[in-house]
Amino acid sequence: MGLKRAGKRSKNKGRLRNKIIMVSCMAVLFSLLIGDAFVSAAYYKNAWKGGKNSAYHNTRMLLSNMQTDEILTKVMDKNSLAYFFKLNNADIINPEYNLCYIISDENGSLEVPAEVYNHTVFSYDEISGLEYWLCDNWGVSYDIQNSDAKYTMYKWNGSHYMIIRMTIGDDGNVELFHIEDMTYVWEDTERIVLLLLALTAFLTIIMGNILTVVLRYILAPLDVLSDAARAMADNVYDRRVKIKQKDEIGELAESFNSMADAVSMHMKSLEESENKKTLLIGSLTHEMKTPVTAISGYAETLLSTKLSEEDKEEALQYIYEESVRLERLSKKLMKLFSLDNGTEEFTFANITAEKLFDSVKHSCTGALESKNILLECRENGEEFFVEPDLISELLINLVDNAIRASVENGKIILCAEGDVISVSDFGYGIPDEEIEHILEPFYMVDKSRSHKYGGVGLGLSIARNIAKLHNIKIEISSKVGEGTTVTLQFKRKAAA
Amino acid sequence: MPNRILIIEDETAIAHMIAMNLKVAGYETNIYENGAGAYEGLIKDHTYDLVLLDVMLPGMDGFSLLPVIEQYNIPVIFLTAKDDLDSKLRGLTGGAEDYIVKPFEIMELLVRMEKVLSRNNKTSSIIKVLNLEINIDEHTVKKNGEKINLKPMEFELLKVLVKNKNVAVSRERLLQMVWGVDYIGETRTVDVHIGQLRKKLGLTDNIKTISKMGYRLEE
Repeated sequence: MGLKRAGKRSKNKGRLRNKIIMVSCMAVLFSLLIGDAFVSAAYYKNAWKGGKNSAYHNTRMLLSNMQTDEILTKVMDKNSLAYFFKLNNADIINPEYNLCYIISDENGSLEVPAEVYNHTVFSYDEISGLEYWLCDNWGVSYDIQNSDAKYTMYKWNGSHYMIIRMTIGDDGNVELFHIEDMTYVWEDTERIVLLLLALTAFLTIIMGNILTVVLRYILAPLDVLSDAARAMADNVYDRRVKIKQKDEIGELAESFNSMADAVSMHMKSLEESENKKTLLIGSLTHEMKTPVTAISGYAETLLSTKLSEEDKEEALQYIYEESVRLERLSKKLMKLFSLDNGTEEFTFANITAEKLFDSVKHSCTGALESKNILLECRENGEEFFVEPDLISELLINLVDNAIRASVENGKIILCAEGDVISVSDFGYGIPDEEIEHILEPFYMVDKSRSHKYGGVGLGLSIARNIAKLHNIKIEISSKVGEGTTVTLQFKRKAAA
Repeated sequence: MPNRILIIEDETAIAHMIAMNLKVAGYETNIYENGAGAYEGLIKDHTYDLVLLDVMLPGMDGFSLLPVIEQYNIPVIFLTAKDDLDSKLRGLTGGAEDYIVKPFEIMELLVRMEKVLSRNNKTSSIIKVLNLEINIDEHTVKKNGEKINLKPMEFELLKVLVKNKNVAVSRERLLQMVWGVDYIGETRTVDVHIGQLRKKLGLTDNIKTISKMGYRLEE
């Protein structure tokens, strides 16, 4: 059992923490990624705008360079241009188109006059593809202010090129195509995105670690609580948790402690009542064994043995007496249990001491007369708010005990005074060390004397239970050889 | 001379029941109903052959009385309602010969008492009943001084009946006590031997058949 629990425990340890960390990290990661996307998009937009501007600027620069250069004259001159291209790439370009391809290098270097002749990048196939493509996609105005320039994008060999078309020459029959490598815009954007992603990952990891540490600290009390609860399940009821956190967990710990208090108190009282019951049943078995032994023994003797008439009569007499004793025992037990279980409903009423004493006198007459004992009642019209039958029973039990403790021709005083009723006898008395026990079931100071007068050892236990129902404090003072006084201190004053 | 048995038992009903049965079985009895009384009584008179001792006694309990009785060399059988192992061990290791828990059967008590008495050589080997004289050691029976021959099983049966005189003993119990626990036989065997005893010893009127109970030797 213990092993199983321990296993279960390690399996779930830190699960809540991990869940919280996971969820938090996911949420943060997601938000950061959205931020990243926005930042990247904005950057790309800006970079693209700047790239376009610089490309256009470069075209202008190229143009102005051309105009100040002799090349420009060459360019402007249809024939020389044709010558130039024929000379270098005669097969490639058809001069009739009046086109001039100027390709800037990767660095955007515009040393066009010196190098323009050497920058033949495109193969024939490519150029024809480019042509085709160019023809199809023209018409995008670069910007309004420079409506003489148009551009389009061309992707080739993993690089992005921007092709700017500009009409030059006085008659406008010469068009300048400036091709600018724009790959850096994508490369920069890509770098930024990577940087942002790295940053995002880094931040997420940092946050995860911080959360781990913080949560471990915050959630540590849960382990303590869980241990304590498990201990309680294993019947350890005195464990309390020491958690002084001022939050829900602290509150939980507090609740747990008060629950533990309640449970341990409840268990203690359960154990006590269980012990009491075991003791009661032990004594009960013992109390029943004697009459049962006597009855069965006499019956067996009568059945198997040849007895004189005298002996037969004695045997029958004993059988009768012992069965009466058993019956008395069972009646008293029923009374005790019904009081213990609280199954009966009680109606409280005001009753005068006089009436109570009368009923006691009436019930005890037989016993009193058999020992010739005088019962003296003293009262001054006191009233008590009680359940009359139960209190009569209580007093009868006390007087019964007093009679059993008294010698013949003795006296018993039943006295009401204010909130107190007392029963005093002048009999054998109870030794000091036994006083605390005499309210226990089946406790008898002198068993043979008690049995002789029909005691079963339950009267005072019943009295105690009745007193408990009424919040009455029972006090017993006694001196061996002088007598005993039992005092009932009533808590409730009669409601006058 | 009958064995003297002291009963120390605070329950009058039980003490008298035991005494009644022991008297019928041929014992002489004395009763003390409290420990202190028994202690004082024993000082004055301790010529008992066996003490039946209760544990829970007013005045002085059985365990404290045990060494007092031991010093007079009287065997003790505890007779008590306490059936926990501790008490049993305490009683038996304390020197008691036997420990009987209430409620008990009279027959069992008688058998156990007899065992204890014979173990302590307190039983006489010659039992006189009616006009019979039975010598346990010699295995002989004399009727009016005249020797009568009995078969071994008949003698054993007579012994049991005599020892339980005036008490009815069932056929099953007789079978068990005379022929032994292992004997596989019918109760008819008992009837046949009883018939032999009645005939040989002329006990037709004294060995009574008690319906449902068995046989009883009446004096």
